[in-house]
Amino acid sequence: MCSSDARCALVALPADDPRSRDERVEYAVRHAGFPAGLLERPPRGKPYFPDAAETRFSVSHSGAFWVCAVAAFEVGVDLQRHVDCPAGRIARRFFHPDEADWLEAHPDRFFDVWTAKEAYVKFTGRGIGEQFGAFSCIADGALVPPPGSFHRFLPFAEGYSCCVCAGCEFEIEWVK
Amino acid sequence: MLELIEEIVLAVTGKRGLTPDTDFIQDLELNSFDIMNIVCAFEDRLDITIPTRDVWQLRTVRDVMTYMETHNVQF
Repeated sequence: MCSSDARCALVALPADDPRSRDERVEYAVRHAGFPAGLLERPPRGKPYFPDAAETRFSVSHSGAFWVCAVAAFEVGVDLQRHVDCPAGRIARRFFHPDEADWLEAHPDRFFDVWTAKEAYVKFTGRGIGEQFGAFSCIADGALVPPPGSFHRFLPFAEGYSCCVCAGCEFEIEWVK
Repeated sequence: MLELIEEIVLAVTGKRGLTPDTDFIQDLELNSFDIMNIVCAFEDRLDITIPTRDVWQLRTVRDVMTYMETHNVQF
């Protein structure tokens, strides 16, 4: 369930930022104005802040950037630089058949579908597994969030796709 | 086998300097898309299918080498 605060803050850093991954997360959460503390990484499950149970976050990195989404509700973010790749092959191998079919007619949207799917599995906490191809982000000929979720594509740098997914409507705030 | 892995990773990601202990995510800073792209390249090169449930167990170059040997992959 989403809280009454529907704000999802986005913090971006250069990929070569010298801080450790945990230090980046701790910085991003504080910089976004959310309660933080020291991050804990349990052997299983998502990392979390024991002293700030309401703070949720998700990270992604690709190309020259690292990005962190922070909110008071479960959230998933994915950033992906557009690279040369066998997109059709990857779609047939890992995506839902409806997505692979749709991409044959919309090949320029490959990375939008990828980021939508990965943002969703990060939001659900399931990660990429056998079920990655079992759900579809295509319905009625359009790219949509899977049932029970909401997503937004964010303008990022040229040549990147960026998607944020959550279980409720949310507002994006870029934190500089 | 290490040379084959190096060749494929270089072709897909541009990353070099692999050793058996190289961790794909921690050392090469690959993300999920990079991993999936590499998996497709391996499967196409060796005419095999790597179940998705196995992919995320292959964290290091040594894991891949052991997997190939265990599954008697010919190359």
